Amino acid sequence: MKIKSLSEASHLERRLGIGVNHSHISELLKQDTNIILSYFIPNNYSYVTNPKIAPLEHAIKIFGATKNARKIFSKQKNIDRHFLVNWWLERIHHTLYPLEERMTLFWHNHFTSSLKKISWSQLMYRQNELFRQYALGSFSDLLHSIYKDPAMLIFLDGSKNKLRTPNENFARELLELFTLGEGNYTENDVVSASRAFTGWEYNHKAMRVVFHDNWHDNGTKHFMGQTGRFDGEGIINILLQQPRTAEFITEKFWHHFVSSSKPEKKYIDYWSTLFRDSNYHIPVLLNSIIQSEPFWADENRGTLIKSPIELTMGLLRELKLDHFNAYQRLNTINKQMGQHLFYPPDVKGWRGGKKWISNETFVFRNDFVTKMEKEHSLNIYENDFISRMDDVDEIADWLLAIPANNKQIDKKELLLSLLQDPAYQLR
Amino acid sequence: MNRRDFLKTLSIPAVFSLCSPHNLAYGENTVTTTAPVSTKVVKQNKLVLIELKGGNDGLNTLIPFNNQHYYNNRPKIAIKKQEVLPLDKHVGLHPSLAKLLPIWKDKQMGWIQGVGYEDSNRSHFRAIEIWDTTSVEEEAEYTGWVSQLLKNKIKGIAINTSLGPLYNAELSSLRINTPQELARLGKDIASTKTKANHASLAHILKVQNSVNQLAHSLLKKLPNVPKPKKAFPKGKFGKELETIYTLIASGLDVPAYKVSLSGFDTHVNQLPGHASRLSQLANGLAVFRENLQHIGVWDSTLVMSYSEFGRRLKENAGRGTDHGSAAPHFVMGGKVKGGLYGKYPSLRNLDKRGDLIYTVDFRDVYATVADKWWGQKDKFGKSMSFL
Repeated sequence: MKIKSLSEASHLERRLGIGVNHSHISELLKQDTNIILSYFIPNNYSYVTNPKIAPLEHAIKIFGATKNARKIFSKQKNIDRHFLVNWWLERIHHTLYPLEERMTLFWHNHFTSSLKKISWSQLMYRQNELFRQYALGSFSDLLHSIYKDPAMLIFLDGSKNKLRTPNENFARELLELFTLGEGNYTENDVVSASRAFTGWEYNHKAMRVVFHDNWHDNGTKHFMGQTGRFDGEGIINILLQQPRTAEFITEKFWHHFVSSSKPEKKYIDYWSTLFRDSNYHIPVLLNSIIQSEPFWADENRGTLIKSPIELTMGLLRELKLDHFNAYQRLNTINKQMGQHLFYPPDVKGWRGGKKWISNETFVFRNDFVTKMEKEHSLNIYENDFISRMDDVDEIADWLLAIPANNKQIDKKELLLSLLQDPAYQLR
Repeated sequence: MNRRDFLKTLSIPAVFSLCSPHNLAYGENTVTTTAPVSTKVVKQNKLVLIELKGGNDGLNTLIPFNNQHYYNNRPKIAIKKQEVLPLDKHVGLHPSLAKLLPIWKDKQMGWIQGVGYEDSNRSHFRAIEIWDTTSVEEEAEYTGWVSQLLKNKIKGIAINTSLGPLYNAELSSLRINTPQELARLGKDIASTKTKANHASLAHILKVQNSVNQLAHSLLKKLPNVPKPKKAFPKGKFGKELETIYTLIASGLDVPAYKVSLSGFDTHVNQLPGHASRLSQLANGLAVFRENLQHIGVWDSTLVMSYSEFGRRLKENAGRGTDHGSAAPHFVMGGKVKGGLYGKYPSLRNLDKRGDLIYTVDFRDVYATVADKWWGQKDKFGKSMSFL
């Protein structure tokens, strides 16, 4: 199908990107949906930035240091945490390929780890780059990498899972939250999987991941109906063979990209099969989704609630507030709204959907759009495309996922009243 | 226009309806108040839920200090016998709970032993949903057990934490951080009458309206709240208990409150973290009680703890414990019949996973609240005698 209207283009951009870039949607117009995903996938794009955090070699000097030196290193750790979050916010703000950052955040919320437990920004940075590397790549590759990721090894006690003293934390969340979902495995499968993953350690002093043969349980395990001396790789291979794994991920994509409604089985079956057959290539799944009827259906427009990042960073990008750089303040605002990057609330991640809107967060969200419009009106209204628009419909088509809820009383304050409209909270 | 004029232009009926008779919950100690703004505190039975997040280790909280199996299974992390605060000759409290002893001595604290259920779930998320709703079947849209019992316009308020048992699809329970912040920021949010045939938009509009209502009623009542007699402990938990105190003292007609304390998922190095959490719990609740007594509402307040599961009898290799099953929980309040309830689970006869077998179904605890606190019989299970 062809993208027939600006409103269709902005629907696509709102769902795949972060905020609706007005010039981008003009490009999308009249394109065919079967090639349109390429507009969102980086190709020869080099956006290299580094968070200003202390290198790991410096940070690990905390071990064995004197008490005063340790105090200094602790302070540095705190500073590093702020820099790390600010770094990611800045990337989300300025990237030309927001789908890549969207997917990076998606995986951060799927394979959760939190800076609260990890405390080493260098490791969370490394995990973040891992997510970025596979954001639009293969979920299979990502799964094969994540169990050996240092931050993950710490977060879910992989480093403590040893032959004589197994720790079930990682194996349980692997099955429950990362691949199959609850009810699709037995407690014995959890135990077998934990045994298979024994032996891995992130060694702080050596600054690397080590596999200890003598920590590894090489015995026979029974897992998902198969028997063998499985190690971690073996378990992951079995998990990837299960249709349920592809379905589980596909269902998550439904809730992230299509609608807050219950996923329709025939689409999940179809998309998950294509996904699994492509060796879990993420663009294949995305492509299936954006070519589908449910994605474009009227009843699914604007049915998703913007996450704090989508709301705040979306607004900055949409209104082209390119010079805004108060990332510390932005982080506080996102925290108040319930999304502190690198600090998911628990291993299940940010729940999303209606959970973003409580009495508390609703007030902060409303406050944010109002403050931004008032504080940055000079910059906003300087933008060509905004100053040229005085047609309510044109602005609403660009900015809102569904028709405005409130009647515009004040034509002068048109943009503000649309930003304050409940419809602006949706995508 | 100034604030007073602004308030005059608002739809005031919302405030009146919060106090009208048919919105009061069932209960014995209800008093109808006709004036919406009142320094007289509405004496209606209130429930304050304390969620211990992560799965509290009951064995190190209410300790079977004369049972050798306890020490055999926990060579590194058992609490030393001489440090335990005995409640009778079988069980005693973790030393960090010292501040709760006066409440026990006043017979206003009950410990319900072995609370759990058949085939208990060990996933944090599934388990807490079961405790929140009493439903062991996974449901798409659930209603918290507390919400199921109430008909008030605002059923419950959660402070800085999930609604859990207070949750309902009609959004008549609210989550706030501090009352002052909500009132201040919320006064600019208009109420809306638009309907929405669209689930997410409908949700937003509902929230918008409830913010509007709550903000306005708080704006009116907050200036009249008496300052707490004893200062609440510093820190998050103390501050949140103070918020509940403020809301109760303001005369707000809300029967249920929830607050949570995290850090109970003690897989590794349990002793210091657990002691610190229990300390915060006891210190906060002791001050909470004192302040509620001072404004005369302790008799109509019931504080109750809960958690997604207990922890295993046998310690793990990391000086910690993994997810288990049954655990004891406490209730306290002016009308609580202090003492021990239920039976301490056997440390010898364990289930096939090596976990404690429950002796009290958690639904019977809820049934007691429903029946004796809010006058609704035969809800959830069998009523117990701690009230």
